Order: sequence, then C-alpha cells, then structure tokens
Amino acid sequence: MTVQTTDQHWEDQFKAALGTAPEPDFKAWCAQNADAVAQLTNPSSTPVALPVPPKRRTLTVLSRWVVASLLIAGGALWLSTSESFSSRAFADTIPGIDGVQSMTWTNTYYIRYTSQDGQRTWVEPERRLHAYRHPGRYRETLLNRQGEPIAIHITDTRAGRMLTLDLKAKKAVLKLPTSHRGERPPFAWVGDEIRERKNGDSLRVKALSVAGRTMLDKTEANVVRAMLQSTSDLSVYRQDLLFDVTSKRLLGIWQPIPNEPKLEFETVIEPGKTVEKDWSIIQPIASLTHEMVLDPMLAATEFSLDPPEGYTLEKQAQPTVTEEEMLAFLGAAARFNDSQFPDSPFDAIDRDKFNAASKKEPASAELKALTEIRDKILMREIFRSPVSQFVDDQTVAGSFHYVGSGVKVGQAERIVGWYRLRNSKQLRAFFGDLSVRDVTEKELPLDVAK
Amino acid sequence: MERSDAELVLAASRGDLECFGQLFQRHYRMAVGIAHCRLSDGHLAEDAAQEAFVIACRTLSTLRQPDRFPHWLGTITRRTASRLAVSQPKDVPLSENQEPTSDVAAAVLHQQVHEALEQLDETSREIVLLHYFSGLSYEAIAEVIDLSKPAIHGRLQRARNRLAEVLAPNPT
Repeated sequence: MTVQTTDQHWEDQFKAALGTAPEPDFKAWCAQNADAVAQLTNPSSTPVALPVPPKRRTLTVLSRWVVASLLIAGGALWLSTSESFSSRAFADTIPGIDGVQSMTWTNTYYIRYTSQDGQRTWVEPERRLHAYRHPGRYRETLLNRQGEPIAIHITDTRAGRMLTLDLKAKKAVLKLPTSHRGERPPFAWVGDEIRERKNGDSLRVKALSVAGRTMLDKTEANVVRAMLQSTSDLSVYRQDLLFDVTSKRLLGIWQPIPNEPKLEFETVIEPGKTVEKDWSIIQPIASLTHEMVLDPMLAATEFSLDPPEGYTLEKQAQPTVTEEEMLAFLGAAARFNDSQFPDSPFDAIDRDKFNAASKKEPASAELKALTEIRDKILMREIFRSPVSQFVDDQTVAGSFHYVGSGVKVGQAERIVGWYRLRNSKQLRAFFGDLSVRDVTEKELPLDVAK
Repeated sequence: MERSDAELVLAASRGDLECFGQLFQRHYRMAVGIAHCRLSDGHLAEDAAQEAFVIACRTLSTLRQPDRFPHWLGTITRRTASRLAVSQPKDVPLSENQEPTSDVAAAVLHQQVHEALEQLDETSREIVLLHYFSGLSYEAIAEVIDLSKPAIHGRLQRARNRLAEVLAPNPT
C-alpha cells in the first residue's frame, strides 16, 4: 500500500492519516490540576519581588541564596523519611551522611562583586561555620569579610526555636526558626539523592554520574555529579558530591548557581583581580560545603537557647503584619499607583513602574513611603505580600474580601475591603481614606452570605 | 472583541482563571502539535501538552513578555515532551502504539505517514504538524517558531515536496 501523490489526493490522505489535534477541555484540565489552579487564583501565595537599593539587596539576595541552599539541603530532611535504598553502589552506610551524631563543617559562599563604577568584578569567599548535634540542633557562626565572627544562630528543631546572637551589640533574639530542618542528620538528603534519585518533593535527580577525581582540602576525592531538576519550573542545578577516595566519607559539596554551571571551586577565585572596598552589585555564584569533621566533641551548652551572660534578650513572636501596617502598606501602594487602589491587594505594586521609579533621582515621596513600609516588613523576614500575611495571621479564614479596585485614596465613603479579626465575630471594614471601623453586614456593598 | 494574548496573560497572572482558560482554549492544539512532533503517541502528546499548561500556570507571573506567550508555551511544551520521550522505551514499533483496527490499509498508511515525517528535520516536522494536525495559520505558526511568515511558507512548501516524494508510489 502506498499513498497516491497526484494532485491534492496525497495531501488529503496525509491529513486523514495524521488526524487532527483534540479539542481542548479546560474544565477537565482544571479538575485534574486543582493545585496549579489554586496557585493561579490565589496570588497571595506568590511573594512580591521588589528591587531594593544595593545595601538592602545584599541582605535580600544573600537571604534568598541561603534559603535556596537550605531548601536543597534541607528539603529531604523533613519531607522524605523513606528508608528503602535502590543503588547498589551506595547501599552501605555512608560516613557523613548516615548515622551522624555530631559534626562540624564550613559553607563557603562565593560572591561576585561589581565595582562602584560598574567597570570591574572580582570574587570573594564568605565563610560560615556550622555545627550539628543530634537530635536536630544546629549552630551557625557568621563571619565578616575579615573572617571575624559577627553573629551566631542556634536552632533547636525539636523546640521549634532559634536564638540569634549579635556578638557586637551583645543582643540575643529568641524567635521561630527561619528554615525547616528535621531531626535527620544534616546531610541525609545526599543519601536520598543517590539512593532514591530525589531531594524532597521539589527536586528530582535527572542524572547521576562519576565525574573523575579532584583534591579538596588536601584530600583526594571522587566526584559524583548530580544534575537536579526543579519539579516546578524544570530549571537544572549542578551539584558535585565529593567522597574521600580512601574512607568513602562525604568530603564536600560544590554547587554553582544554575546559570553558571561550569564554575569550578578550584578556579572560581580569578587570580590577579583586585579586591575593592566599595562595590555596587553583589551576586552569590556558588557554594562549597567542606571542612567536614565527623563526631567531634561538641558540648550541649554550645547549642543552648539560653543567651550568654551579659546579653540582652528579646523574645520575638512569630513575625506578622498588623492591621495598621497592612493599611499603611496598601495606602502607600495606592498613592504610588496614582492614588488609586490596586486591582489585587495581594499584588499591589506595579513592578515595572516601581523599577522605573527606583532609577529616578531624587526618589518621589510616594516611592519613599512605599519603600519604607515594605522594607520594615521585609526586615522581619516576611518575603510575601504583607496583605497575605495579615490575612493569614489576623483574620478568620475566608472572611477577607477586597472591592478596592479603582477606588481613589481619600474616598471616605467607599469601602475598600472587609474581614473578621480572629476571635471576633465583628466585621471590620477599611475605607478609601484608610480609616477602619466595625461595620454591620448591611453596610457592605456585597451580600456576605453570597 | 477578542482579547490579545498579552491582555489575557496579564489578567491570568493576577489570578483570573477565565482568562487562563481562554489561553488554554486558544493554544491547546498548538501545544499538542508540538508535543506530537517529539512523541509519536497521541495520548502522550496530550499528556505533555497538559503538563506544559500546568507549568505555564504555575510560572505565568515570570513571563516578561506577555505577548510572546505562544512562543514561551511552545518552549515549555518542547522541554516537557522531550522529558517524556526520554522516559519512554526506545524503538517501540509505531504499530504497537495504535488502536486496534480492522482497516489494515489505514494502519499501513498511518505508519507510512509517520515514517515520512521522520525524514524531515525537526523544525519542518513541527511546522507540518502545526499546520496539518493543529490547524494553525502561517501567522500563528510564526508566533510559536522564531521564523517569519514567508519563511514558514517556504519551509512548509519544501516539506510538502519532500513528503510527496517520500510517499510517492514505488515504480514497478
């Protein structure tokens, strides 16, 4: 059997054999992907990313870098508890990964600096010293550019508390941990990657290969290269796991950022580059976990949540956004938005407009006010929409409603939104002039029951 | 009046599900066509297209040029389909993927067509599938593939000639 190729006949037969693409069925797709739909229709779950001035950007970028590292490092710690191993090559216990009772290690972050005039770049290492004591106790020492300790973070995952010590100001803060860690050893996730080919639910191991040998801290190491893929956006991360050739223990982990996958720790510091005191942009480009010491003697007092003598102690409640701050933020966003309330309170800032305005000198009063309230909330390590944080923390679930799209700032008679505060049955409404008061259902523009 | 892709993307990224639904209706066939180019199984192609929309739904707010939605979705679909293709067993005879049929001639024709498509380079194959299978116009194809309308026309014409050549009856 062959196809007739004369005239249009072959084309008709071709089309018939190929068939036609199926009809789209959006309802069915929605039903099958409810979580994706929920993510789309609830923008409050998406943090607003704002550009901030360089000094603040340092904090934000570094925090995100550290958070990203911790997500990768810690994802499997609490998400995966499976004990089933599938890889024969790593079927036995791996020192440094399994059964760790105590250990210390160093994380060196490599930061690319750009000079103030934007003409030169150089890379500087930033070290952080870590210690772990079973079960679930961590101590992290932050160092300055000169390598001197400036702060210590102690986390007790069982207690669900974190103590931060500012060594210069002699100030201690007791708060909720800023990262999710479980009670498994700190590098148990490496075992998950090798044996189960995944790291938590968010990363899967796309490929695992032996990539030769290298020297790390004067020790010869086998390099096992894992290519990790994010299950959400499919971006790929390179991660080199270094194992001591002789003892087989985990010796180090090298991880360049996704868009610089070819960076190597041996050559990341470029020779001949001058380190300058002032800079305009910094960007973390890779991290190296190394100097791992297994089972050192670590005193329990090193992990105590009691502040050392001479320190002032501040007990910080869970960071939140108050009603007053939520209104101040929304008002500042509205004033920045030509004095008009945004379409969505959860995505209240036009990022393009904000970016453009940030480049203008001098900054407008509206931009200054918006930056001030946003930074105040960012400094509490709240990186999501302040309105979302307020809604989640302070209001009865499902009671927050927003009808402010298009309302002008100052319109005292126009209701912008309403909610019920927790532990209260009373409705609260806020208005175009940013006032807030208790209201009855009859005063609302929509039927609450509906 | 029909809203542009850019308008729909902006509204959808603010949480408007209906607008995302319109994007889905508008570009689903395109996504299946692109996936079909890499996955000869129609069901798998549909799976890939649906997964591509899941990724698009989750990451819509990262799309910097909303008017380039079809191109962006096309890229996601290619990646998704390639990933699915890797996880599929290699060298499975095409006939094993087909529905049982009593029409032997149709089955043979089906296989010949797919073998003929395999003779084309990937871009040409994609253009052919987007035109004949997904029913896209030259203009719509140009939005997905980084080529001009005349270039699409030229490519399609050459692909048609090549297909006609491959599918021509053997001289006896």
